[in-house]
Amino acid sequence: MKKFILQILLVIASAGFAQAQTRITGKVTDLNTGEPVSYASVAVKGYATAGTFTDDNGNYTVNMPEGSTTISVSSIGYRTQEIAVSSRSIINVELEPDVAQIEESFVVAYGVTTRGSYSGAANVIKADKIQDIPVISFEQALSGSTPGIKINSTSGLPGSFPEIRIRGAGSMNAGNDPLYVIDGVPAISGDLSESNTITSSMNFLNPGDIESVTILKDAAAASLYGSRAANGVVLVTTKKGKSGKTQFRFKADIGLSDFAFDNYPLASDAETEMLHREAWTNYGSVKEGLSGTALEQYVNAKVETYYPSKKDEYVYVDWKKILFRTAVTHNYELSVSGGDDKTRFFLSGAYNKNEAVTKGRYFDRISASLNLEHKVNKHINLGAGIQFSSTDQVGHQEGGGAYDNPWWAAYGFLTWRWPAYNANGTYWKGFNNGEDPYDPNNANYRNPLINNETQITKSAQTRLLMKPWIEINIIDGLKAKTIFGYDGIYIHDKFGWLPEHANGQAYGDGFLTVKKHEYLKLVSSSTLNYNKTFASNHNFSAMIGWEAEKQSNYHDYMGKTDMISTSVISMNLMTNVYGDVTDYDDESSLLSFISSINYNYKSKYFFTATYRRDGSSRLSVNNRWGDFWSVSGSWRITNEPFMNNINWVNDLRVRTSYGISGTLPASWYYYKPFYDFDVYGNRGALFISSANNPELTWEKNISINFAIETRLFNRLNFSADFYVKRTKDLLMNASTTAISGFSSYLRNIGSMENKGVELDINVDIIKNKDIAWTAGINWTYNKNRITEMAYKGEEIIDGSYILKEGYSYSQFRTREYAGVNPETGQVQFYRNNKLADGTYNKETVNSASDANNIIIEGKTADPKGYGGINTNFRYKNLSVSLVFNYMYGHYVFDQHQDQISVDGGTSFYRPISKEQLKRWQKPGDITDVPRRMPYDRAGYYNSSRMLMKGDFIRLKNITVSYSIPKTLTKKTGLDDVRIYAAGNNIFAITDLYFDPEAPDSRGMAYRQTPPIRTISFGIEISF
Amino acid sequence: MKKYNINTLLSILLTSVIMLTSCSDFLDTNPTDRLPADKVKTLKDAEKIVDGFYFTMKWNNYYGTPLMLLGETRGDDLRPRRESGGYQQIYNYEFTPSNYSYGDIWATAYNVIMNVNVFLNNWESIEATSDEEIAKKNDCKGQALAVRAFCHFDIARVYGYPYQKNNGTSLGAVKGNKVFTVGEQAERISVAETYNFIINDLTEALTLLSTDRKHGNLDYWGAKGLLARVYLYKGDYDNAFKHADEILTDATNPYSLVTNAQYIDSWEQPNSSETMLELLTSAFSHIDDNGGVDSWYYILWHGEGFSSGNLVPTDSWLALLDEDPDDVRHGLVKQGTDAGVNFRWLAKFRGNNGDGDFKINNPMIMRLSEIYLIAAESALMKSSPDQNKADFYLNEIRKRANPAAVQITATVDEVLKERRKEFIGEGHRYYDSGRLGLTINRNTPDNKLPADSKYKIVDPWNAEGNQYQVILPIPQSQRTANPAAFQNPGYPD
Repeated sequence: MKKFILQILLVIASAGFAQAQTRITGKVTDLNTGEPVSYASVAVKGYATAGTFTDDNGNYTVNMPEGSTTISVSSIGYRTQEIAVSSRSIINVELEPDVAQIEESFVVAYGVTTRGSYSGAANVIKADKIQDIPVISFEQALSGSTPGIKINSTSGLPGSFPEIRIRGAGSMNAGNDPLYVIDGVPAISGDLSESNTITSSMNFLNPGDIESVTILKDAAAASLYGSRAANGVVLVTTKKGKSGKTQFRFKADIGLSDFAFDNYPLASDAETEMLHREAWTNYGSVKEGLSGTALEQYVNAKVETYYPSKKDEYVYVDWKKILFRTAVTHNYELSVSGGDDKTRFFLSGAYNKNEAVTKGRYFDRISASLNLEHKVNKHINLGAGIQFSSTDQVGHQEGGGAYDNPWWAAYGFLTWRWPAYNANGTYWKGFNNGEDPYDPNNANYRNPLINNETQITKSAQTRLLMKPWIEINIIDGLKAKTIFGYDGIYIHDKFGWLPEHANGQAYGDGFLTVKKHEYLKLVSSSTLNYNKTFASNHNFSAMIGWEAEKQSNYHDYMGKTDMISTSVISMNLMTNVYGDVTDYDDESSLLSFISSINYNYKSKYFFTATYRRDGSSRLSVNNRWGDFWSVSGSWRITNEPFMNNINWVNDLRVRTSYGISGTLPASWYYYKPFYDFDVYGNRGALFISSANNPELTWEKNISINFAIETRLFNRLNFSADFYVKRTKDLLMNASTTAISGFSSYLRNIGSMENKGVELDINVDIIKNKDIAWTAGINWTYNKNRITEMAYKGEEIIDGSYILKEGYSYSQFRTREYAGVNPETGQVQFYRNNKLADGTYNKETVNSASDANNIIIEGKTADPKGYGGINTNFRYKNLSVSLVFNYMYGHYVFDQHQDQISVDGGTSFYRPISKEQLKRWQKPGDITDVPRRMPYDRAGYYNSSRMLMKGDFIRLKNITVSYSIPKTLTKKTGLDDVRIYAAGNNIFAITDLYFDPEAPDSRGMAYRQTPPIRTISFGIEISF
Repeated sequence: MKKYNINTLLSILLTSVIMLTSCSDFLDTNPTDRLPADKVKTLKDAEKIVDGFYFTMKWNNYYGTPLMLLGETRGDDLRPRRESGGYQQIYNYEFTPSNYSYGDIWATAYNVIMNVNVFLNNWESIEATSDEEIAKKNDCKGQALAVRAFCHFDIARVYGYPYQKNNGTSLGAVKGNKVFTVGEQAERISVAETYNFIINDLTEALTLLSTDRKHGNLDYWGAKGLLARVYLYKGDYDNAFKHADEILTDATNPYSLVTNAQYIDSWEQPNSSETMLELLTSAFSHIDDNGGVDSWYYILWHGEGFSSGNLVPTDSWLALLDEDPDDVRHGLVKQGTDAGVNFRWLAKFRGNNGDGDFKINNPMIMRLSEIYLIAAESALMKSSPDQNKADFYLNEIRKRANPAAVQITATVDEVLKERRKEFIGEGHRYYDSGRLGLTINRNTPDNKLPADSKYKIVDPWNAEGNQYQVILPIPQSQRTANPAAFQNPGYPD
């Protein structure tokens, strides 16, 4: 509109001077990209009414009045160029981007800001970093992208949820997941897994619909989200329409996936037999005193029992090939965006089909996104964002106990000598020998092929997120905005076993559970913004508002046994109700007042204060209101006059913040007594299941941040953040006075601290029209420490960890492995005897049961550093980008080793780790792997033997993209055609023998499907 | 027009703000599958809540196991059958503040007390209009008070020295007269103050309780019986006698002694004619979460093809029983064998349904037989002894065991002897020795005590000696969480 008026004005103006003019034409392009710069101003110096703007293709024509000599070409985000015309009639101009000037605006809590004026710690990840990477959920594409954020995958099954930690773990019991806010609406987030499927709440969003992701890290950034912000906030902004031509964009890719790492290499058939033979030879000679033929016969018999030779009547397979596959993924997206100066829209639909590497499992998603904005008049804007998705997922149980987990079966259970089929092609169900451990009735063994076909593990999920909003410009500078958010998730989950499954038999004639889970969240927030500049130097803005939120969880559960038919899997065709049939609907609500003030003087000194008051239904009436606030400031040194002459410093600012945010209890009703139901004799009884706990409150997170940010030589961006996060009033299940009715209860006791440094460096190594090369590295160091436990000196044993003052939340505690006695090959542990002076005396013992658990000093799951290295290289239309992520200085605990590296132990019917090839064999051998000796089973016991350095660097993402030159695409009527190849988890360098990203955020590697590598090929067409 | 639009929208906005903020209910949310304690209104809920008290009491952290275990294993009626079997810790009084793997009675009793107090706080708001409803409502309160007294009594006798040792001047319970908040600390009151509190509760309960016979719950008679027991422990024999005698002489008393003929069978039939309080179990309501395997009755049972029977009657107890070969209670002892060793084991608790499922056994808390023997003992001890009454009540029990038994003259020793025979396995013996300060001789040939055991001769009043473990320590976690409640003397603190 504005442009149109200007053009008319220019036409009128230029008409008046038509006679005395020379005409200059030309094209304005971007120096770095060569792309045309449209709507750049071409002014004639000294002649205000002359001048023009470039068109969509960057072309301009300007009539030079008599006497004029110079044109000035400018555009927002570029350095203005003045060019003497001389007598040229064609002047092409290459504008140099002015990065200091392009103050990218980005979304923050309840508003938008620019980098230069923001004094909080936040990082922005733009769509181009996410869109091509073959992942289901955007979080998986964030690894290595930005400092301060650590991501651990939990399962390689498609749709699974990664653990995200922003600036370390600040909580023990209340959860460490960040808050997710989508287009201003706090969304339902977290783990939506059901018994058989692992599901992230964020995988409903097609990454292609995301415009940007902002990670809020410190109190200044996050505390406006109050009692939920202590773990940081992830703000997701979806793509909006742009006015202008209606733009269609179609994107399709196909990908191939396999395991990203050669996890737990296993001994070959011949090696396995040899290792069995050696174990029994050792046993026969050392423990049974046999030799000669007697020993040989003994060994032959034992080996035949535990690793029987192959028989003609069975078919043997390579289990990994049978159970896993190169999985194929498809992804199709179509979006339309456009609009005019009153209405803009963005509409997209996507279909994403992901096979799991584990055969038979998949994750499919249909998603749609619609964003509409309409300007009613100069006062009123309104709009709505709607995201819809429907997913269909078949997974399997994860973890060690589930024989239905094919990964665990293949790597922890099946050997080269387990048959898969009988010679006649039917599934092998066990040897026909009741004594035989291979007996199918022996719960230790089931044919996973049968299990695969006879388990029911299906989960369907529908989600609708609707966010209508209205914005009213009341007077100049005063604006009101209201957003309503509706977030509904409906999960329908079926889990069970057909009668042919051993578990199905155990329940009778098959077993099925049906769960319906409905999560519903309603949010309404209204804000009033005021913006005013006083005396031209004092810029002031303020916001006040309120927010109300109600979340409901509806849950129904029913189990039945005995299937009449297996042609249709339905409750309708089953006879007996099994176990409790239950339902509940829980509600949690939050009512908040929010406000902020921003002030800056001459864009040099910035000051921000935020304040939020939250009332939560999860706390008692007298304790439910809390105050969360922050103050922050920054000084933009480059805007000081004394910096004017220092041209190589393009930008320099320091910022600091202090504030408090919180974490509410994860449990919704832990503050007052409720009655639960049970049976007394044969009649119902009510008993109190939750305590009178009026003191319960949120965890308080006090965070201090100091940072410096700079841009030098117009090439190098550098930022360093230093932070301290202290969590007070930790929510813990701590001992309490039993007179309250409970000897242990959720209380606010203890403190924890995270201290850290984040560095981020990005360099434009080459930037010109044809070649651009940038590189960056980010590094984060976070030190976690428990500073106070519930009671002085208290130690809580938490599995293989210890919670103790002065130690990390991820401090390992286990037996201390003392390696292998080089003379005997026997395993050795330390027994640590505490002496009177508090030190320990180490006694070497040969049995795990004689060793004691002890804090393994210095070994925690906290890395000494982690982060990412990224580089983008562009040559003309070809671009390549790489993202590496790395982590070092941390330890991981391998929970799987006890299955396959038991040194000849008792679990004879197992595959054997290749690690066993390094075993001790003869006196003098120096190794960490003891002799093979049945029943010694050193590896069977948790000890520091399973604790190993987790260092790795991984090529996390790679994208190669080529845009077909416009000269070619124009002929076809297309605007842009881009082909690309992208991959994630390409390779990893590590000393570990399992995927270095498989362990969880506390360094524990469980028996679950490890991460996968996907390489995809795609095309994107815009028209 | 535009102004109008803005004003309309603004007013909508403002109204919605006011509506939501003024609506204080917005932040009061409740789950639908659990009942908020402050929303209890109906008599039906009240009755279920009262049942909940007993539900928790029968648990394997209280009456279902440790209270019985402590009452018997520390005494001289039962002993471990083998050197190892899991009960040596209690048998040899190896109590430490940090190890109470046998069950945390302190915490469980206070859990029940908390349930009672939450209920009492809300009791007024229970809706009752008709006389019948009001009577029921009162009865609920009476039961709550009586249960609270019961729990305090157990805490006093497990964690406090016997009243008569020093007139109750040592530390007793924390007074559970209110709902403590999580983390709230409170001191222990003396045993004497604890007894006063118990007696007050029971006295009030008697004014509220229904005299109709109940099963699995305390009625008027049960509460009165408990009051008699409390006075007996306290050494207030006048009152002990008064209440026991009143029960036994009241024509409206619905309880009567099981007959000799019924006696053996009565142990596999719930709700016998003399059962004043037993806690209910069933296939749906076990003593533990483990199908009854962690119950007191599992420890005792031996049976065919089943080799528990970890605690068996001592030789001294068997000798008492054998004094009269015609005593019906011989039927409660069976011959067993394990690994070639023969022994006699207590087959008293044979399951609720007589089907031999000993894992489902109603813990027996109070029987009319006990009231007879309380009456007999206190008749002898009261300020004006009544030998006739004592003789009558004691011989009623003796003759029930053997109708041909000769009438004897009652003495306290005879009453105590009869208590041993009658109540074995019901958790009384140790406390009987304790309240009277009688030494317990366990230095017999059949003992399975370590050679250096200090507890071969147990003197429950002689804690000043080296036998400080005659009462249990306050769990260490409670010393940490509630430092105001002091540890018992002798224990590391």
